[in-house]
Amino acid sequence: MIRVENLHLHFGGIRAVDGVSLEIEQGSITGLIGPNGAGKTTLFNVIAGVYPPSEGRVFLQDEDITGLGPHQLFHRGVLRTAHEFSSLTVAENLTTVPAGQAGEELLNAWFRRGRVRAQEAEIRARAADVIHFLGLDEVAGERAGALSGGQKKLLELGRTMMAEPRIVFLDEVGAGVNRTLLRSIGDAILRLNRERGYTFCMIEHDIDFISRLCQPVIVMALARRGQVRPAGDRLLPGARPQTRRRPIMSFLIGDGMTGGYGDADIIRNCTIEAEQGEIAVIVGPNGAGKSTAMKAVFGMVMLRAGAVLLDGEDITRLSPQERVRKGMGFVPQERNVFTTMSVQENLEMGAYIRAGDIADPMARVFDLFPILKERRRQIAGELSGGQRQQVAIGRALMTEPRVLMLDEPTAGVSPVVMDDLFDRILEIRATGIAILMVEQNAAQALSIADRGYVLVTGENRHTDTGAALLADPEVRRSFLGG
Amino acid sequence: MTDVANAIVLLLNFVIVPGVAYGSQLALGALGVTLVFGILRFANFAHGDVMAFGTMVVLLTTWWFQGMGVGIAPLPTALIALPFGIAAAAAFNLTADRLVFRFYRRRKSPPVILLIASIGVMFALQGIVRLIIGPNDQRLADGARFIIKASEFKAATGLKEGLAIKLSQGLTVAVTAIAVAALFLFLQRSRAGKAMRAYSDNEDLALLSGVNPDRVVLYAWLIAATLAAVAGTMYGIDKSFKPFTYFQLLLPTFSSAILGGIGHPVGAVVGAFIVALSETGVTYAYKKFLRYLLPESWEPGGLVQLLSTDYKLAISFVILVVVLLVRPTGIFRGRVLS
Repeated sequence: MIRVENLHLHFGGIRAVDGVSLEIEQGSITGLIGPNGAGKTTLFNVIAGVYPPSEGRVFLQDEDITGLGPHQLFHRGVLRTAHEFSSLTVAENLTTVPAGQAGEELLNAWFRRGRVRAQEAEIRARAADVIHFLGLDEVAGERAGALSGGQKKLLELGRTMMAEPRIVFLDEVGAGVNRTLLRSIGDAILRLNRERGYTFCMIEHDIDFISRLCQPVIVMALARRGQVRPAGDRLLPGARPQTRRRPIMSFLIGDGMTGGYGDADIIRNCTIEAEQGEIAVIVGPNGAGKSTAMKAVFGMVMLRAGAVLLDGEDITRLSPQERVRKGMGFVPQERNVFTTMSVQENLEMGAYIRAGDIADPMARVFDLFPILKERRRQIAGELSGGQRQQVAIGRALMTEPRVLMLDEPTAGVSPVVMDDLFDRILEIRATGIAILMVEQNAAQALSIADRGYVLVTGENRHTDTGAALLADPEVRRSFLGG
Repeated sequence: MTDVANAIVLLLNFVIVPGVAYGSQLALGALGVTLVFGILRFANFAHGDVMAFGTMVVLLTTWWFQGMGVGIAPLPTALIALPFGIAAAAAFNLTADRLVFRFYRRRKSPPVILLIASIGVMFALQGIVRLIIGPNDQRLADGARFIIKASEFKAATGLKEGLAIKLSQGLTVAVTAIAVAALFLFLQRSRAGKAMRAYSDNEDLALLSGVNPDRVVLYAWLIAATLAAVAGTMYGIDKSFKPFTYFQLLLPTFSSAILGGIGHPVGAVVGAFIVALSETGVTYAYKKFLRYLLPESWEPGGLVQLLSTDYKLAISFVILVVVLLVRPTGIFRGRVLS
């Protein structure tokens, strides 16, 4: 159905896609896997018309579609999932998809009300069908911005369904989604494929998910030779072994925090602690308030009750910026790098509040993430997902914080990169920094955690060491998928 | 062969040279608009009249200097009066921010509200300028008129067509080149410039990195005021100073910024030259130009002018509409105006 011939794409000197040829059969669910930086997303973007290729051709059933823009491909039934309009409701998000609606033209809207209404009724009916198909009935009237991560993924899928596509490109629908939801997304994809004849091509990092759905699976190799990691001691230079005795009170405490963004409390009486030289992990089902709990510790949430203490000092009333000056580093989940600035400038901005020489912290970040040193002049927006995540963490480390907070650092990266990131986080821990992170990959995160917090509906459900939580049958059954 | 040379000189004299000078003036204006947009996230409609305000102060100072007999002939006296205009424009921008824009910024009002507030500031400023100096045309240029005179050029080359380059045109291009180079150095190299780029790129992350938003906003207003006063003065020296003309400059200025990709400084400069050369290129009567190139029997009957100069503004407008329809992010993929 889609044939790609010898596709190349170069950004400056970087070869993002280097001579890829592949074919996607009609009615198949083709999986695309490969390490981070292999150019999977870029390949999608080229096929979907976001970037014109430097070389090579793309055919849709023998029609040459190379270089056509995304909207032209949309009309040919080639769709790439895109983010939802966050200010529209779920239902509105779906009804705005079909192109060429009669009501779009003012004359029609005024003078041919009947026709417009009939068409709108039909589109609304289809949207209702899609909402039901995806099990989004309960949130149909909600604004899309208020949905949980998983529901947004389903909505993305729903938007593509409204366009009645011939082929759908899915870029990591599973990223940042828990097991249960992943299963329902997988079911939806399978049913669309079997019952409605959709062709899918998907990038996915979750091997189980891929192997359940995809036939065939295409493996992409690195566009350029992979990075060889330096052997030997990879501790940060300047790492100080912790000689401090364990204090009675933890270094960072969010104590009995209750609060949210608006009137509703998202977290209730929630307590989170982190100790220097330890990793604390917050896990839990989607919508449990994990990110909110961490943001509350960082001062990004209005607290109605509770306190936050850093090294015994009450910082409850401080703004996030002031907390950065107190030695807290925060890596947001999204939009966590300056995409228009170079890697080096990103790191410089991280050290913005430090007066004087920043060569030392920068050298340490480069030791931790050697690939960043090599790419330091490249614009951060051109990096792969895993590399961007490294820039984001590096940026937060530039202030030499005493606490590092990470909001889902491994969302949307491949298992290999995830393992690598976890390795680096362990190295950061060894320097004596307190680490607090929210993780979707609960089992892997708990396996490196010194302490773990399982949150459910904004409250502490289980609190223990990572290993103990992993061994707890109830935790395993409810949150880790068996 | 001389025909071809004549044709080229003709085009240079009537299209390229005035277009480049005008493009430089627009570039300075568009840079100001784009910077304010990148940092404060709204389209500042008062920018054209800040140009008028700054130029007015330059003009008043110039008269004062002329009265005292101070000058830097052959260069125009306005050049030494320019710092006064910059200071006045900066003072105005900071006052307007303190009285109007800061209020909406603190309330996190949507960009549209700020845009409309800026229209209010624009009307108020138009009143101030007319109260002080009146609505009439004023001459700002003094000193030497030409770098190259048409008659000298003809004598030197033996061509039938002359090329004249006014001193004001040469000055405009030189001053713009210096201003743009200084601005780019500032944005790329200095700590404050990087903070501004970071703030424009990702406000939340910039705040997390400890960038002081008040400081960044202050820099944006100061730089925008400087650029506005310089652009206005250069335009005034090159043509003349009339408050209403400066208000009209708003449209080509915005078209340039949006064409280049709003929020993107390089884009603003490129956009400005495209808009300016389109204006001079489309309104030029090509009859004489074609007469040099075509055989005699093909000589065009009409003026071969695509649009009358009365429609100059329409060109910016058409460019604006086409960009917004075809590529709302502009050439360099700036932000989408909302």
